[in-house]
Amino acid sequence: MNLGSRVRKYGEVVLVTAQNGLAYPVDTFARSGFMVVVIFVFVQLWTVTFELSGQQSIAGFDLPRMIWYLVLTETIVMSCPRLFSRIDQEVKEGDLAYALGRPYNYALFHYASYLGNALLALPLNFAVGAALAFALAGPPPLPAVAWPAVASAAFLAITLNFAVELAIGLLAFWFEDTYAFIWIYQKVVFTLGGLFLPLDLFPGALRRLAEVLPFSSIAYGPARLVAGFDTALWATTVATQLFWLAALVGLVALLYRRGVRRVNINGG
Amino acid sequence: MRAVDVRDLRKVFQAKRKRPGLAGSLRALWRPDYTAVTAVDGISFRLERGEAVGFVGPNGAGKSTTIKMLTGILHPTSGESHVLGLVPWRDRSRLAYRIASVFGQRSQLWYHLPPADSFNLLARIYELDQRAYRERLHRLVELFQIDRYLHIPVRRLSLGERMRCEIAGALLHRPEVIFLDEPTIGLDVVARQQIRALLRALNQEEGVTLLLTSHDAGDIEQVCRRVIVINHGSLVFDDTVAALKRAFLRRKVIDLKLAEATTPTMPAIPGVTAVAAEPFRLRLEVDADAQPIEQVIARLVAHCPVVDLTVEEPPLEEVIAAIYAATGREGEGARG
Repeated sequence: MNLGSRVRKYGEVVLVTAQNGLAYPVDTFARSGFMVVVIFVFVQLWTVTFELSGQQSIAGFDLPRMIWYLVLTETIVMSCPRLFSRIDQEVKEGDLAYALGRPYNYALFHYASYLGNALLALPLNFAVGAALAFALAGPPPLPAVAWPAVASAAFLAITLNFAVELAIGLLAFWFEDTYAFIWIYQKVVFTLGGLFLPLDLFPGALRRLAEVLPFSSIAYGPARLVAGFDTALWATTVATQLFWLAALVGLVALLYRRGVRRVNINGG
Repeated sequence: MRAVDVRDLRKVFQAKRKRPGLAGSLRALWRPDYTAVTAVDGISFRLERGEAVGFVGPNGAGKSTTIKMLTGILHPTSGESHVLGLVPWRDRSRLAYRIASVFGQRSQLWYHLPPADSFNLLARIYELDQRAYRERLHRLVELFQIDRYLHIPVRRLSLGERMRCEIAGALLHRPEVIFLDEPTIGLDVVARQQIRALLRALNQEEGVTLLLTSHDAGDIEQVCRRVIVINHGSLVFDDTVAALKRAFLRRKVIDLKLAEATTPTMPAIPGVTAVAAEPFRLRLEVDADAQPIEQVIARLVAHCPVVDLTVEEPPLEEVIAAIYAATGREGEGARG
């Protein structure tokens, strides 16, 4: 039982989950098609906004920057699988009986499975969104060499979302139904996370609050890099993401340790 | 080292209780009312290596809770248990490499993928050497006759085909003990027979220890030599299947094939009643408590032109139902 075989088991989970996601390719592609609707609506909305304001730039964002920012936030958020519902279901319907009886780390197994889905959706969603943004708003305001750095921040954003959803899913050990928590979380990412609107446009106090919360590291942080990349900003973004990731890993470990002792498997 | 050693195992759940109606719901929000439910109430038993043991009881008797404690999923409230020398809830990860569980109402196979993909994943999860895995898979595919289904998505398999694949998947890592919770639930007669034959073969050829939970007495009768019965969380019987029948149901049926078409005049034997009389055939029910079966046979042979005679055991189902009825009455009020 060496480190290599331990890593390979999670690698296999990533592959099998991706294969499972491809079982219905039409469904997967159709979901990416929703990016077309979202980006088209945003392009129309911001074109009108810029025209009415009579300005070329709002809070440092011109139209192409704004659209590419939104492509990034939407790509990240729409590529995150709904992990909480799977954990919620495992606890409620008793599938934990299999999950807990296997020789793997419960959180890492779910992370691998989550990545299998996310890494399939992420390039698809980005390709669709980027193609439309390119056609309607022009090329991205970012040198090609900066894209790997943006991709690393986007990957950490997806990982952060995983940690939050896992923490919420684990609340099922206490509350059984976690939908209310995830609903609140999603709405907070929509607003304070900067999904629809960059935090730069927020009034001072609200912006400062949003920046210190972890939600901005999921959408605003990586997307802001597209609108104005510099290495220092990237380093700050990634460091903030890693800080929140470490905090959430601690929280998840605590919830799991406490929760697993409360397991009361339903259905037999 | 024993396969399973359970001593005074107990599991008490705290269940939320809510009074009916909206007022009850509001009250439960403000002041939740919990009640202790004893699912397993101090049971003790041992399984030697290579045994195939039936674990039966009515719904809510504590069977599944016991299995989940033995696989390390649930923490017991008190008591001790060792599986292959390990404490399940403490050494769950280590134990996971040496045991397997099959839950008839749940699936470990990926629904949209062929079983072969799930098997490959299981091989990685159990960190099997790839060559050893290929050999093992080849043997299981042969034994379970699943070569035709290996590359068909699980969603397209029948329940019986899927269950054969489920059990094969559980055996890939050569577990020493297998916990089977209702593996034949929902299967038709043919599929049940196949699963039972496979379990017998597994136990006899590979010496795997089986603890089999089932509501189908045929599963227990055909796979296990020993049976443990629990009711209301307590152990009420632990002996061979034959002893179970002897102890709990003394009724036997004698089927006589006669040389003459006319029904003979039966001698009056206490405890014996005719349940069917046809030309050349007579069926009698015997209460073995009232009259030893050997004496009944001797008198029948002396008085009737018997060509052939068979003594039928009562079906296990009736025996178990009789136990449930008896222990249910005794155990009323034990829970809660």
